[in-house]
Amino acid sequence: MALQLKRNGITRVRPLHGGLALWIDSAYPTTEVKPAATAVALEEPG
Amino acid sequence: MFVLAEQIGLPVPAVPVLLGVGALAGAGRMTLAVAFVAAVAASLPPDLLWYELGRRRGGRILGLLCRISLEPDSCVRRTENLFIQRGRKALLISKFFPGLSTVAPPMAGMVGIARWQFILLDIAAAILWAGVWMGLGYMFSDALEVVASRAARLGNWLGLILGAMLVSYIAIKFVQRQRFLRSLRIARITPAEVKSRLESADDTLFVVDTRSALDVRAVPYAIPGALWIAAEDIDRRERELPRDRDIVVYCS
Repeated sequence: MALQLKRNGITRVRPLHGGLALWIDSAYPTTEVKPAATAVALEEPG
Repeated sequence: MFVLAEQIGLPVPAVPVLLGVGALAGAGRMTLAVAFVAAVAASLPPDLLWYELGRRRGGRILGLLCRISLEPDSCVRRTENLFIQRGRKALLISKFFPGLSTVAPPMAGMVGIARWQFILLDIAAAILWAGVWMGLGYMFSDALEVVASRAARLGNWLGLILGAMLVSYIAIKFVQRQRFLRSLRIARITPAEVKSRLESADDTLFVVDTRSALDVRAVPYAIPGALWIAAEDIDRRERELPRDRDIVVYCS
């Protein structure tokens, strides 16, 4: 993903160390993602 | 044994063995039904174990499995895309894709496919997979015997050449990956730094959630203010990303 962005000319890319898992493990704030938005994305073509 | 080893995740090629077993059965030197039942039965226990681990441990177990593969960066994404595109049917065909056969069961657990459904689909997948390869071996047993006898005549040289090709391939992939990881390590940002910059309303930071829809459904939480662009949509939505800010990308 980061590599793909860099190839596309977006150079200031910073991958998050540990991903969302480490963020949640660190008890940092999160917002809830509504299931409906996910369902739409699942059905979205292409 | 080969089927069991491959389903556990070891880099053991079971397909040539299934072809060989089919060829031996075609030549009347083995009972096809016994070998077929053994192959199908051997694939279920490790698959069920990975399914349970995927169900209980989620994306972490998938990440661990993919780290073993030669293409870890695309491994998780490919599996997720397969599930998005094909749904439960992905399990039926995943055994035909190298690497995916081990990764598909934990993914099935992650996305909440019921245990009984998984067992039925997994048995059907094993029947299809072992049936196709053993059937091909059975049908082409004469041709495979010719190939085997020629290979035997070449003796150690053939093994040496194939071994050298395999080692070279693995070495090239390893070096490419190390280079890429080194470049990412330099740019990586810690959660503590992101949190601190978000709290200080730092407008030079832009956070992008690149998880697939399946991952978001499995863990329906995000970093506050993050823009969700699934990795497969990144080319289409690239214009939404600012060029003059630090773009923090994260996945599961």
